[in-house]
Amino acid sequence: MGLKGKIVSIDDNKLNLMLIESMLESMNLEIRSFTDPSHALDYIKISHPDLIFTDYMMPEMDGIALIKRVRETEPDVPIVMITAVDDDDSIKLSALNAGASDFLYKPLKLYEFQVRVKNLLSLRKNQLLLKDRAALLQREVETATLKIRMREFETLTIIGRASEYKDTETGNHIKRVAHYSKALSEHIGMDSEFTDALFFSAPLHDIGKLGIPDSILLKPGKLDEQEFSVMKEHTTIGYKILADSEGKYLKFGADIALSHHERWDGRGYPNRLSGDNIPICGRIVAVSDVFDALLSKRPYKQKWEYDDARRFIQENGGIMFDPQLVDAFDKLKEVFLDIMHSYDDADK
Amino acid sequence: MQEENPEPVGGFAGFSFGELQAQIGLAPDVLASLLREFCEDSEADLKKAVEELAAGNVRNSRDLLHSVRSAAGNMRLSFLSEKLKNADEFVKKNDTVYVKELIKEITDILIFIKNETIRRREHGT
Repeated sequence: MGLKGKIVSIDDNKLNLMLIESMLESMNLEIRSFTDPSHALDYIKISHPDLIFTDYMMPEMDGIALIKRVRETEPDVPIVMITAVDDDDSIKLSALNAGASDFLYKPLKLYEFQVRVKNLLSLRKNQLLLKDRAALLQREVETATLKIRMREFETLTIIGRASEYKDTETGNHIKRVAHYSKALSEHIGMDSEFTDALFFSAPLHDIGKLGIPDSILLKPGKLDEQEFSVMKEHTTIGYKILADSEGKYLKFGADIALSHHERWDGRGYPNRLSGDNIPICGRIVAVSDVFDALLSKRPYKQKWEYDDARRFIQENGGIMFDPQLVDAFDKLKEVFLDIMHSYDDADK
Repeated sequence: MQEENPEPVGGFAGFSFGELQAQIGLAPDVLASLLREFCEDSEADLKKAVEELAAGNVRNSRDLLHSVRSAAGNMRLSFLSEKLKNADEFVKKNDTVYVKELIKEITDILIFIKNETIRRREHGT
């Protein structure tokens, strides 16, 4: 802006406008004068001036109404209301409440007026510099936060993958589960903060498998009752590993680890929760995890056909899975296929 | 707040170009051009105010008087401001005859100021 600020002056009396223009003539400023407040408002919206002067008493729209309208689009620009000395204090109070920054009294004094303009433009200049600086800092913080998040995600993915490798060596399983879960979460209208947390934490759903003996975890074939009982402990082990953490995603991961084997009908584990009592993060990851597990080869089972896996999920809506999520799963067929192909184990 | 220091010029007390120029601080040419504009616009507005009053449009008449008064105040012509305030009071009282008299008086002053300004410009005094 420099000191060559853009000034808008509004008064229903042309001569008052000319007087202001004359008083500012030597200051090398860009001045636009309006006798019609509506035209001034249109101009202000597109030109974003640095300083506005308005008269109080105007026939179509008084100065207070004008200030209110300006403030809808220009919250920061200094606005000076020019009033008569003997104007009622309530007018000045209303103007302040409407968003006036300052007052000037008629008749204007040249030097006082010029000094006031200079000061207000200087204020505006600093205001804009501060805004630029704040925007720059904001961008830097966002970039740094994103970097931290990506690193955290990478760390979480590696931890998750460590448990997956111990289990079945399906390296991309956790990535697919994260992406499937994100798609489901977005589809059912969860907010972006929740969806992000879910995306970053879903890879930890099986972290508790690190505490399961290899003889059980890697056993080819069906587990017996006692072995299955031990296997089920991966949910509570995972929870214990993560629950005490201060990290947002790790805490969220604890809930997922604990609840992703609960079933909608209450026959899941470890707490036999049912319906809405199961945290939504666990319900979402349950659909994603089972669907992906069915399509993966494991020591104890062959890979399922795609259509069979889809049918299994569909048939278990309201039994194993939240029916709302099964409905979302149905509608997201193409999205799931894209994720499946993007993170195909064979290509990695 | 008015800091008028009346100086009789050409038989009319209350207007002195030099005094006004010192108070406002504008260059003489700029002030002269503003004064001329003010006088011409105000004469037209006052004429319109009388017409509006005659037609019974009190509100319009008062708006016009206020506009001229506001400009006179800004030009530090407080003697005019006072007369315009007075005229407004009598418009409110619907005393059309006296309002017309006052407006005639104000118009005469405006003509005087305009002539004085022109004379000053032409003779550089």
